[in-house]
Amino acid sequence: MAFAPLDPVLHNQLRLAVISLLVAVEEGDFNFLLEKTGATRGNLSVQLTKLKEAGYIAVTKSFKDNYPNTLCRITPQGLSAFEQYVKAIKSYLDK
Amino acid sequence: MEQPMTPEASLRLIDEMLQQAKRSFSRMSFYFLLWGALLLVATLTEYAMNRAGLPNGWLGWPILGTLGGIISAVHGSREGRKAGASTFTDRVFMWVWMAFTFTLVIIIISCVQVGQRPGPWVSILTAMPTLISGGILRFRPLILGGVLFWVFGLLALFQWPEHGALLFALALLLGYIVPGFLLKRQEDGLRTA
Repeated sequence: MAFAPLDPVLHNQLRLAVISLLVAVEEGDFNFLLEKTGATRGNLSVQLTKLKEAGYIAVTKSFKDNYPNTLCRITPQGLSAFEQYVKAIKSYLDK
Repeated sequence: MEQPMTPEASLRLIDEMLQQAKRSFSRMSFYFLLWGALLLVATLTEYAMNRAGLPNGWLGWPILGTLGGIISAVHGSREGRKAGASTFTDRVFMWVWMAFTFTLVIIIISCVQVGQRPGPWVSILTAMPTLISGGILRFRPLILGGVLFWVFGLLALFQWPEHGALLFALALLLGYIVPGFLLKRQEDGLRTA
């Protein structure tokens, strides 16, 4: 029996960490994601752009206390991709 | 974070992030302890002043109510800024308690206008958001607290109107302050877990 293919967008530690956090919270800002993932600013920024380009997250830029604030939330497409990914890795583990 | 991942590592990472997100919950215990203490002081002050035959015992309600509103708003906005994330549960709490606060103000003003004591009605109304919060948090002491607000409110209304203030004080102690302390202990445990 063939294994389900793993989504290359999500099969990356930082991108998967971000999506997992955004599954749990309704929306999270850049600093929240930075603190929880332990990533560097540059790397997180690059991976957020990739997730956004894939349509998995929506990014809103605003200001909080006069500082730029990047707010991220998972899209329905991102949620469905995450569910498919979890299903796929479970199928690997069940073999 | 760029090494190739095994399925086990992926699952571990997902689980770890979900646990991390869990620690970002809002601390509700602060509000139960704050309002429990303020309303308890307002209730007992009014009771004591009425017993002593002193006028304007009801003044503690608007004063402490306003103080509680200001502290809650400042604390809520500060916590919101610090958290950096908001959950669906946070939104539900915010709307439920906001609706409760407006209804509470309307009931207190209406009761004063028609010459009724607001205590029993406030107690009966307080049961609703307390019970909802207990249900959402799956925290039994708050669910029980909500039920107690109904029971003590009805007793104050029909059974012992002369001891309504003391019944409400007891409801605040058992429905807000005790569950508030228990919830705080649980929150502290989750934060450090």
